[in-house]
Amino acid sequence: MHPVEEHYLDITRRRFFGLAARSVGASVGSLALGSLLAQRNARGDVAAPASGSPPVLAGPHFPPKANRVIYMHMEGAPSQIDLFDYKPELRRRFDQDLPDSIRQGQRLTTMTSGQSRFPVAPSIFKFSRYENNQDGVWLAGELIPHTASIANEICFIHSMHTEAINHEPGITFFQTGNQQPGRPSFGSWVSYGLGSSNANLPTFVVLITQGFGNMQALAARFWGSGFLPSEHQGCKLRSAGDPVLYLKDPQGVTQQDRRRMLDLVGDLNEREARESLDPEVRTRIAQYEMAYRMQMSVPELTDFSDEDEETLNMYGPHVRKPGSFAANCLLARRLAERGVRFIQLYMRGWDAHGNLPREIRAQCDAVDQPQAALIKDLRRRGLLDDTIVLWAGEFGRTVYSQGTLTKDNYGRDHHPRCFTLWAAGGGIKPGITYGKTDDFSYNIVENPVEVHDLHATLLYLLGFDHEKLTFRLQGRDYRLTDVSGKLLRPILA
Amino acid sequence: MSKGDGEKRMVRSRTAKSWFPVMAAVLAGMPAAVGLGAETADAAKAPAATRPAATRPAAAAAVSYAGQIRPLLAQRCGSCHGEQRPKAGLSLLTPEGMTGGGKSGAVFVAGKPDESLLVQRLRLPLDERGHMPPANKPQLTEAQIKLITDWVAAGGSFTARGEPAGDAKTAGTRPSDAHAAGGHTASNGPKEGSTSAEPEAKEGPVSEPPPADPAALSAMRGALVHVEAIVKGRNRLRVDFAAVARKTRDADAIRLLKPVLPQIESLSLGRCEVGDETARLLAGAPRLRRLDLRATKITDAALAALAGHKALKELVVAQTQLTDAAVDHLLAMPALQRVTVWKSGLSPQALERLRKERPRLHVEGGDKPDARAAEVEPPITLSGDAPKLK
Repeated sequence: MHPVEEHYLDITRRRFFGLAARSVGASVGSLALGSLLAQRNARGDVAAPASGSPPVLAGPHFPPKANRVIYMHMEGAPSQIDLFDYKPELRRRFDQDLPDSIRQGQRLTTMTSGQSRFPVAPSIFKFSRYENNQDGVWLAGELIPHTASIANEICFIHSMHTEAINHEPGITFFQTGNQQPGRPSFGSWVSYGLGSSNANLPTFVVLITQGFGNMQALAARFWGSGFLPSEHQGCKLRSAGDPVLYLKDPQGVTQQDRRRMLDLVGDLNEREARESLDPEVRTRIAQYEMAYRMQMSVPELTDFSDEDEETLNMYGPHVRKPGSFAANCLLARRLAERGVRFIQLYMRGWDAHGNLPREIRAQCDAVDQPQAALIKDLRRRGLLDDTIVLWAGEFGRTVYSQGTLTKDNYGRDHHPRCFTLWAAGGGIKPGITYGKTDDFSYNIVENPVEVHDLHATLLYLLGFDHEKLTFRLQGRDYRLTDVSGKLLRPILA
Repeated sequence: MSKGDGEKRMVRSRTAKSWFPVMAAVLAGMPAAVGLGAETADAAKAPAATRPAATRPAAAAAVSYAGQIRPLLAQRCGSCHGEQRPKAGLSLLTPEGMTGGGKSGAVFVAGKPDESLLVQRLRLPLDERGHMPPANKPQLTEAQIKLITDWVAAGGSFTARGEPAGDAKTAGTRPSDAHAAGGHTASNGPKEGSTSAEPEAKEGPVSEPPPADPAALSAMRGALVHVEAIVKGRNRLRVDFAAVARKTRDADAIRLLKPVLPQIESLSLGRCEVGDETARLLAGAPRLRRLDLRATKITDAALAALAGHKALKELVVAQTQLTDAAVDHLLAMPALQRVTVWKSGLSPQALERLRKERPRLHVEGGDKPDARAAEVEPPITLSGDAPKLK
């Protein structure tokens, strides 16, 4: 829209708020002003038209199955071969060379492309077949017994693949639908599409856990809003000290002082917005007001004292340690029940180029019990039905060993050609597996799934046609799924 | 570049989307009631509501799915919308495919040809984008389009004529038989019906409510209560009190909800300080399908008030103070499909009774057994014994 055009629309908007406020006998204070202006999303449901006609109630394209997402990203890429993709035949191919017919000359990272040979490293972890709603699923029960116990709730996709072969573009692709930085993240698209359902908390929250293996950089742009208005970016909650910096009033500043300051700054910003016509000024006003409300809502959110002992124990021994995956899973449930739309958890440290057995044990010990507890806890509170839980790394790991292979130690390089992720709740078919890989977990032989397909399907469950959730930039309509993405109907409940 | 460009585009596409079926309908000489703005919806309501009644009896007597509709769809649509990799994810050759819809949503709304994508697309002018079948493919004749229109108007039943399910008298008001697939039409009805000893599921009102009072919506937003349309441009609402749960008492909830009772489809009062009075009010919300009363002050009286509610499909009463007597009230909710009763005070015996008397009701009691290991791998030995591959 032309800035001047928008300016005039703004004037009518303000007039409407004044009228609406009078008609319900309330006054539109600066707090209400902030909250009313706060929502600028794809639905435009706050930008009411001229007074007299009803506010335009926008909404998703079709009735959503899910209202929120909890996305657990396993940064570094967990090994599908040691956790989910059961290949018992490989146990008799220990240290054999990976056949050329399987490798097919595919590209490798420079970390292993110079190796003189590619010796097959079978998993040394014991698998079991767990009951689900099909004929069962083989999982490394030795590493993830708790996750295995919810096999009947989970959909495992064994046939994921990605374009990227390194972490940075790999995570960027999963998070934004594009390997190059700059696009809005998945959570930002959801925020843009659905808006907030709790005006006291950010729509998109990010929680990070430090891992026990090799850790790669985690850039804030993974939860950035790209070209979407910046209010749609993820808000990272810190695990130590204040969850959000500078949220507390400084010493000597009272709540009233803060309010008066915000009113004055808000007034100045409002003038600035009218003169500069820069929409980011309005975002700023909204963010200040949000921060003010978060002074109350965040301490209440992060205080676990109202959780009972049974619940805390369910999440495991690390739940009282802030920043642990257990604490973040519990926090995710608390965010979900408070209506936060997109909760992004990162677990770092899955990048096991060497010493995989030792590292994966420690990683699984940190995530297994909490993630299973999260599913069970959501379910018994009636929240799993409309919450999508997604667990995914940015790619998989190679069947051949990176570096020295022995009978109790090996490493694995990056492998984008196939890997496993799982999802549960929110309209996803529970207790199934989808897709198959070859005997070496190297190539997909059945039902390949692209990252865009996954995005398209999750957007569908949230009520959106992925081709219609767009934002126009420089003459082009951008989507999370770029120019591809197809709905994975077989995994829908 | 400002974000305004994006906004404008959204507005434009919404407008286009809203008017698309209207244009199509006008060109075809029909009134329409799909995706309109509030005012136009009112204008279109009268004809849309009366016409099917006029055409229905004759149509229902004439059209058979298996005998006429499916062969026609197979012949003219089946090459793209068949069972193998159907375009737009839409298969028109099975009842499940028809009810499941495709990428653009539900393919038909039982009893409402004007609101049915299937009919709209067939009626679009040949050169219009979205016309089906594509212009370079064999087209349906007027008579064939009318056949499909009549079939949808008669309720879109998949069962043979003569069976009670195809009864012309009820066909226009009930969702189709295979509707249980849970497609995304706005008029999803309860799926169970009279198939077991369970109480007969009567349809809640399936009609679209009038637009909510703007003052009521503003009041909710002013109180930081979240309210949104379930589907863009429609009037049914999802309301969530999450932001103000701890401060919300019966009086607040009742004041805010009373004006929008006809519009509420999904309501979350989880963790609110509300109780039986609010539940009594909600008994009068005819389109309420999902209600979350988790960790509220409700007692058995709340469920007694909601007993007999004809639309309520999903109910969450976890972490409440109910007694086993509440089971009777739950059993008296004809449309109920899922109920979450973890820590609601119901005894294991009460859960057992609920599950026994309503075998198709999904009862979430927090007592679901873990998935067991059905087979354990023998001890692992690593070797290079297998014949080598090239």
